[in-house]
Amino acid sequence: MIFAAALINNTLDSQINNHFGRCRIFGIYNTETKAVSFIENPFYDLDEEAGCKTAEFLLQHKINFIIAGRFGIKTVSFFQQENIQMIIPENNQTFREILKLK
Amino acid sequence: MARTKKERLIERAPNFNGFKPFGVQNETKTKVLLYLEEYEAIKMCDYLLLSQAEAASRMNVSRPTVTRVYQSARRKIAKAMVEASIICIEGGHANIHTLWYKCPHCSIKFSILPEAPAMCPLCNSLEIEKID
Repeated sequence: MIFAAALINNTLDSQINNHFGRCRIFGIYNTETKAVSFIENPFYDLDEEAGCKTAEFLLQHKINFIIAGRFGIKTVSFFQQENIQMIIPENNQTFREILKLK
Repeated sequence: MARTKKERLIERAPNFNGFKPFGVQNETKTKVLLYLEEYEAIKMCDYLLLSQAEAASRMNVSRPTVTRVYQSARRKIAKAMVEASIICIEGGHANIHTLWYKCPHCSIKFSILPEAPAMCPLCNSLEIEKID
């Protein structure tokens, strides 16, 4: 399973970003290979549709889950259609804490 | 402040932004803003041919509300057709009809896939609560 998360900085100890489309850095974690990577979002400063374009961009990484503080209405619709589950942390957890990694 | 509108639930947002007329003689570039719930009302009543009562139950609003939303949609589309305006499908007072659940162990809210069993994606626990 592949988890993606909107982050504040490119480390495992980053908190999850409260925004999705306007987020610059995403973390990707593969539960099978245990690989962690960080990617830059080229669409973070679009005037409109940042969420939709970011969501499409993440699809290339074959994600199964996406973690962020909030998703816009069109983004929610997009992820529902692509069968990607959305996760919203309630407690300011970091990427490491949410995935329960050491 | 006017009475706050109750959120209208839609199944999904359209995956395009709107319509533009082509071959326009005097291009005035006027714009009509079709709300997401109005698009949904047209989809349910004119495309899926549901009754307005059925549409109301799916949108989680009253039947008179659907009538008003639908009438507004028809009027806006008619205006765009007569005045050769661009139709932008955005805005309004809608939200996606998603099933959100909560896992108290992981302190997260999450959406579930249709047809899939409802369990926490992080800890696989089945002790989750549905959020209204």
